[in-house]
Amino acid sequence: MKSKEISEGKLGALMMSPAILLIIATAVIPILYVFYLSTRDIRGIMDMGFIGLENYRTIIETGRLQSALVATFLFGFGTIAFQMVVAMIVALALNVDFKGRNIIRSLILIPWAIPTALVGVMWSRFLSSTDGYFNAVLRLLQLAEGEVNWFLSRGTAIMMVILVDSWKFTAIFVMIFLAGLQAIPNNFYEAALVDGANRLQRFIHLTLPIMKPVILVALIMRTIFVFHAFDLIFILTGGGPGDATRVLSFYTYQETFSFLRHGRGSAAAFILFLLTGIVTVLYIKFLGTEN
Amino acid sequence: MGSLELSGWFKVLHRAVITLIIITVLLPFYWIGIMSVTPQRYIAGQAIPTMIPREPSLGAYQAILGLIEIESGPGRRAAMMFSRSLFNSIVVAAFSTFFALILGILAAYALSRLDFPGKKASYVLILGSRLLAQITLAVPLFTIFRTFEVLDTYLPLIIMNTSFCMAWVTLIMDNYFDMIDSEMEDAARVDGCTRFGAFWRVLLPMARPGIISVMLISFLFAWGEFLYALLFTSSMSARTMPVVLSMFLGQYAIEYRLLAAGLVLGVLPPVFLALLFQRFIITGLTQGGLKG
Repeated sequence: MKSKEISEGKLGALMMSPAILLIIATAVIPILYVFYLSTRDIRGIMDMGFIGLENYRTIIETGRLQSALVATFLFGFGTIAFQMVVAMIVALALNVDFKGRNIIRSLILIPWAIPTALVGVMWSRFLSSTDGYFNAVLRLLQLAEGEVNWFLSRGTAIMMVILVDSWKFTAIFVMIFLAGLQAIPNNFYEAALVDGANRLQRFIHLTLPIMKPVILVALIMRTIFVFHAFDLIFILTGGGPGDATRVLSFYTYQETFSFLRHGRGSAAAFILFLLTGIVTVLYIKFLGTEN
Repeated sequence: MGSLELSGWFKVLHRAVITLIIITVLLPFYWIGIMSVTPQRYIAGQAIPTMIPREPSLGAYQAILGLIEIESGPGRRAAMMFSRSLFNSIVVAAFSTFFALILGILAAYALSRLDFPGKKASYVLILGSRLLAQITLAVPLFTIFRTFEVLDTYLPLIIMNTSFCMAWVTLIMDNYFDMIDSEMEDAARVDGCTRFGAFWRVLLPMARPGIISVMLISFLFAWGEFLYALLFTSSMSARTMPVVLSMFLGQYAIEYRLLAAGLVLGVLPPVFLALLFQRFIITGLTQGGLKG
């Protein structure tokens, strides 16, 4: 090797530094700053000074934080459970040889590729109580009469946000599950066939255990991203009705940018950060034990 | 591979599932397609809006792109906003993708091939930054960008999209480089190539499929980014297409066919890319990171 070439350590640090600097500027400093803001009494653009953890106490005492956590949990649990079940069925269906399989595989990628906000705009039009296509189909199939406003009651509002979210994001689970299924060698199944296991038994006793790590990784990853959900809720429900779909990310937005209470908004943002942090640490730990 | 043959009633069930997938994915596109070419009166206020084309015309597309004049005031304003927002989206997505690729690929090479102080910490920082919810950073970023007086310009959007995309690029490309044997680079170095030269001239050309996939994933993210575009812009000088389309729902009541034409134009690039490059995207998503 040439002696004038810079050392491996220096080159590595040099190539890594632009990325790290950008992350420090756009993530590390803002996180520290958000914690600082969360300890201050800010009204509009007036900073009235340090108040310790008062903002955290306020959002807990008013019950807003709890209701946001409940909404996050209901939405998150619903959307992940629904998507995993649907994705497993779709992945199993796509793991079979049939004509047009590649076309279907491309097809399921389309909703994922579309901007979430556009998915929201589209579906908010379809779900209109008066002249939306969704209700029109239900009317044609005699499943509903008159005007059904899905966003008027808590249950159906959460359900609709989950359905629209799933329309877009199920594809991720499908791709991960499918990759996992295709990594299972055929002779696994052949052995089971000799033992006379039927399809369901094979799925429960063979496929699922082998897929367990894949399923877990996907589950943790998606759990982190549940905390990110914002676009659909902003466009479809605006957090309503009441606080039914006001998940933590949307609550943070509202507190900060609608009510201009930057201190409380920052407290909510910091709690959101801690929650994502906890799940992330679990994720990294899990990846560590798997490898 | 794990593929199995089907028989009997399972074949019927399989067909049903596949049919259901096709309908679920395609029906919404069919609906916006119909909406975009149909006069308002067949859809607005109809308990059962038309599901087949009636007096179809491409007028809404011409109108929303500003190619023909619209009489109604809101419609004209919407057309002006939309065509400008498309331009803004292209600028933001193109620059963000470009910068994210450069920063991310450099970082990925360092992670994959080099040993340097702070390597582990760098990895954790990059992974961690990708998992942060955008809204957690929104408040401080808003204040910071306001202080630097760059709100309502392309800059904050390009910076933030670059930052988020760069993290994915790094993680996916790190994985990708790991899968490429370093033999060729070693050979080049024995021939007198510098370490960076071996990276640039030997490894990068071999990693082209990986680069295409991270380029697509970055572009798709920046094209659809909504929250920062919503918060950091306040006029049409930098507002992007997703924000403008969301505004058409509420504040600006416009004809459905204009809204639908805007939606079709907004989803066309991602749909096109997804169909054309599905292999690259799936590889990127399943081998590197799992995007949300």
